[in-house]
Amino acid sequence: MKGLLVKDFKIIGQQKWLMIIILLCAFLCFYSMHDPSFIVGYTCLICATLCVTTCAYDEMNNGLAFLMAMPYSRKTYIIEKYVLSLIIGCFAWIISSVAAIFCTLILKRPFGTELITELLSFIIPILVIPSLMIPVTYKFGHNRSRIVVFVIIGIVFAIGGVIASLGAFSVDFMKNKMGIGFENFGSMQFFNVGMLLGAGLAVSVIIYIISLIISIKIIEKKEY
Amino acid sequence: MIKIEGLKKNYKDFSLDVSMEFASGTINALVGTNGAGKSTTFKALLGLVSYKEGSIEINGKNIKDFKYEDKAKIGYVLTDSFFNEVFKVKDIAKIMKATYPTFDETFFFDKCEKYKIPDNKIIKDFSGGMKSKLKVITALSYDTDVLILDEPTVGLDVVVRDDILDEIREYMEKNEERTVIISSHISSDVEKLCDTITMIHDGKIVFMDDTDRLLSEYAALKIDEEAFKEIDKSHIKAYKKEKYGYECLTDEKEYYIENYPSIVVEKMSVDEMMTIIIKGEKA
Repeated sequence: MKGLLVKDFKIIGQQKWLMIIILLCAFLCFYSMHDPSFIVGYTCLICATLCVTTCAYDEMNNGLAFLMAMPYSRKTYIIEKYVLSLIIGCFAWIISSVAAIFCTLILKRPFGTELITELLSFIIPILVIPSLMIPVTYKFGHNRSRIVVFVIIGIVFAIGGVIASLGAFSVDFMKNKMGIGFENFGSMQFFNVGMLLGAGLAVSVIIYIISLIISIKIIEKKEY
Repeated sequence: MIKIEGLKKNYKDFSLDVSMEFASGTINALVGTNGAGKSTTFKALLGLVSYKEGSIEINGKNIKDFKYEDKAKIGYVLTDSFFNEVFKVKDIAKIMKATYPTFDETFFFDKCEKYKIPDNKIIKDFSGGMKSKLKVITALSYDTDVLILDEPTVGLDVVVRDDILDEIREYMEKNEERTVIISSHISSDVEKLCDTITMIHDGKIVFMDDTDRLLSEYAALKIDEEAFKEIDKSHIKAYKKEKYGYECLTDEKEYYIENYPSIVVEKMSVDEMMTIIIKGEKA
């Protein structure tokens, strides 16, 4: 796997100007918005897509045929992409979190559980974005994958919208027709933020593992 | 040693069905027109395409059972695929060093220097000749038992082609137990370099023989229509209608010289043999 990691870090190294621009943007946005957690969110989102960029580079000029003939198994090739996404994601999260904490202290803002929860919540996109994009990229190719990702996002939002509408309708129905108010279930505090974050992280890890298994199945069926 | 037995691969409009064996210590050519099945055979050898029927063994081991160490003993060049062109030669050296335990960095850079391949330029800026040489040098820079070269000299001038052929000869001289399999459109390269020549057409093997025998025993018989009707066709592999009568490809030139002294017998190049087989009819 070492050779594949060297290759991908060389590709990421080619994006150094992009990285500098990202850092500059993060800094300028922080300067204008005074929101330390924005730095983390922005950096993590951009870095989560970097791994997918290496998939696109591998695919260029029919390069996958050459890579698949290397001594690594196809399974190792895919695992490396997920390991890479974790390395980049963790690196981006740690650096940007340290920067966010540093900025919070400079701005003399309250430093407490709220900030920590916000910072931890950015681990979710670090896991979910590659989980969605890696299998789609290998299934449909880099060019088509962008359209497919937008379609998937659209479907997710549509389903979410329908569920939310149904939820609002049922709450309304229960209150008007059955006389049961939502307040009867206690306050939203029941679902405290920590629990929601924990559940979100757990679901993200599960999605990540499922995505890895799907990607291995996709690549093992491919012919070059 | 490379052994392909009953390899069958079906596509919508093409079927490959081949068996072949290449001994250790030999350089072997696979020739044929575009779409004949050469690249599919190479891809099957490298595990890039799946197949349900047949088996491929390299040095006695089925390639489906290959582990990292086995695959690391195979050198290869693919016509249309290599490392991404944003890389520089020194990047490739680092990737190869991290991948192949036997990668010889000194050999790699020495050869790059010999052929004036710059190590600080991205591959995209290289000429076609430079790219081809780099592909071959990369494949030769680690210790392998088998070398699989799919069209390594395609689109190159005679000087670059000669350099590449010299590198392959040097590779064989270092260890005579190695096996090389090469595909090429250029018959002169194949005739100069290879010990055996196998021709594939429409996914099937048309002939497979030692190069020396091909060039000494195979020949064109030029005969008129009357003589064609009467001639013994048991040693004629294919024939083609011509203005004067028929041109026939035989693999037993001496037989016809002895038994039909009036027949015109001419030497043929591999290209000419291919033409008569593809454009002509089977005897």
